[in-house]
Amino acid sequence: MIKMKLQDVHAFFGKNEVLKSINLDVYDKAVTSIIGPSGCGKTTLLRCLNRMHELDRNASIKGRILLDNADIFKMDLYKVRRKVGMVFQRPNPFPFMSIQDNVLAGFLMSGKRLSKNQKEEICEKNLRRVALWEESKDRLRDLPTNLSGGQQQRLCIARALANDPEIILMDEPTSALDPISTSKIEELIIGLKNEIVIVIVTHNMQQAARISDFTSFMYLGNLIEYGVTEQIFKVPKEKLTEDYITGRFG
Amino acid sequence: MRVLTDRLFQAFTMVVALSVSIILAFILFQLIKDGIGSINLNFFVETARPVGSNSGGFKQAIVGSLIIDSIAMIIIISLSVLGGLFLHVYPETLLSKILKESMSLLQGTPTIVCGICVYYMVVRSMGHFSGFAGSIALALVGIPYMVLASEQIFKMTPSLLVEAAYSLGLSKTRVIFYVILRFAKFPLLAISLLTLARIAGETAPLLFTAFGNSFLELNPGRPMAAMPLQIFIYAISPYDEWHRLAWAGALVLIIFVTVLSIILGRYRRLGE
Repeated sequence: MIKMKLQDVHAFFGKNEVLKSINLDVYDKAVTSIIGPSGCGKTTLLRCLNRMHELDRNASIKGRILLDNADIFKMDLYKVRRKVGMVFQRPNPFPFMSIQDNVLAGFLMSGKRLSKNQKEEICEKNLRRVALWEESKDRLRDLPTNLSGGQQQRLCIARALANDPEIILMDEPTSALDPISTSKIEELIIGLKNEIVIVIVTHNMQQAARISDFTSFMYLGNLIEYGVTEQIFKVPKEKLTEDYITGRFG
Repeated sequence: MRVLTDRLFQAFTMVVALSVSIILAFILFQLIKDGIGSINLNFFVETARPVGSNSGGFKQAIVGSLIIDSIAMIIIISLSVLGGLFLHVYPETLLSKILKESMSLLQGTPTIVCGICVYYMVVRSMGHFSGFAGSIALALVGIPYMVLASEQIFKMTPSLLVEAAYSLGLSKTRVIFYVILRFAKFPLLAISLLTLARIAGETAPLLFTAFGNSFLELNPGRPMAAMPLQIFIYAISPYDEWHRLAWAGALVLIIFVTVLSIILGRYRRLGE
């Protein structure tokens, strides 16, 4: 089932067109990865999916992006971002809030009132989902700056999950982490894909091959090829994809 | 040659640093030498007295300064934080550009001009001098400094945190309240203290506005004494006894500013 559909999407920074006529289907209960060399528009494409691209004053988007057949440009902006959560390249927990408050940030900052029990329940549930509960249950009141980089990134994933999104966008979530933390995040992504749609941008082709069900290859703002991960890595249809995957450029 | 240039430059900077330190040390020495003798309990609990009665103090000036500076700081902080936020959130608008230019211009305006402006706008329309007019004049001195500093502080908020908040579906207002203002809390406190230290010693804006008062006055709607004003009045008088009180007043003012600086250092560390 298609969860999100991109139809002829163009993205601009001022007059510079950084995404050119992208057509892409994001499937439900699957991990979709976006690969490609630096500057090809992977992150821009990801940021278009929850309209974070428009945060930049010079940025604009043309085309249609449908979430469950509803055009996200006609939906309430804040509702789109609640439905389509995001995890960034570098861990970015709020340094002035405790670990527990970071998990609950979406509720606390939007003014929703929660009872003490609800807070504890949401916090535990989401920390368990990211396998951080055992490591942090005795220091929920501590600042997140006391956690390691990998733990901070898992906390950011818990923060995004607590908001109850339908899709999570991940922008190279392991690029700033060591191999052990990376493998934990990868396990987490595989575990989560039955509950939630994940779209991940990665530079690491092995990672894309390991964790994703569908892979899209981008080059210079164009979506060159999109398909089942196994097909993309074993029998790519496009010469450019083959050259990139075999390391001839990039 | 490079070593020689380096040594010459090091020697030059050392001489400059020493010269500045000597001047500062001389001022402090003079303040302590001439001021410490007149600082006693009477200095803090007595109001000004006529020459010859020998036990006058600065009570009315200390209380006056506390009231005038407090009102000024309330005006400065509330307007400057809003102004700084506006500059940060809407930097490209015409109003923002006008605000920024006028703040830069006002920052370089001699403080006595602020006093004269408030004299014409507030004192003459009220019909009399007042502590409140003094607060407005001091606010005019502090606002440009703090608006521009606040804008810089808000700019320091990491974009990573702002984006994290937006990605949770928060509105711009909530991002400002919960992330930008919260992140800027300690630096804003530090800059407020710095602004207070700056306006606490201003005399010129108070000359035509608060005017001064030899008696204790708690109503800011009436002419009020203030520390720098009282020091000025005593310093230009022909009496030795009042000169000694002026030195003592200046010493207390310096101690106040030093204490603020120490607190400021602590807040800086907290901010980091």
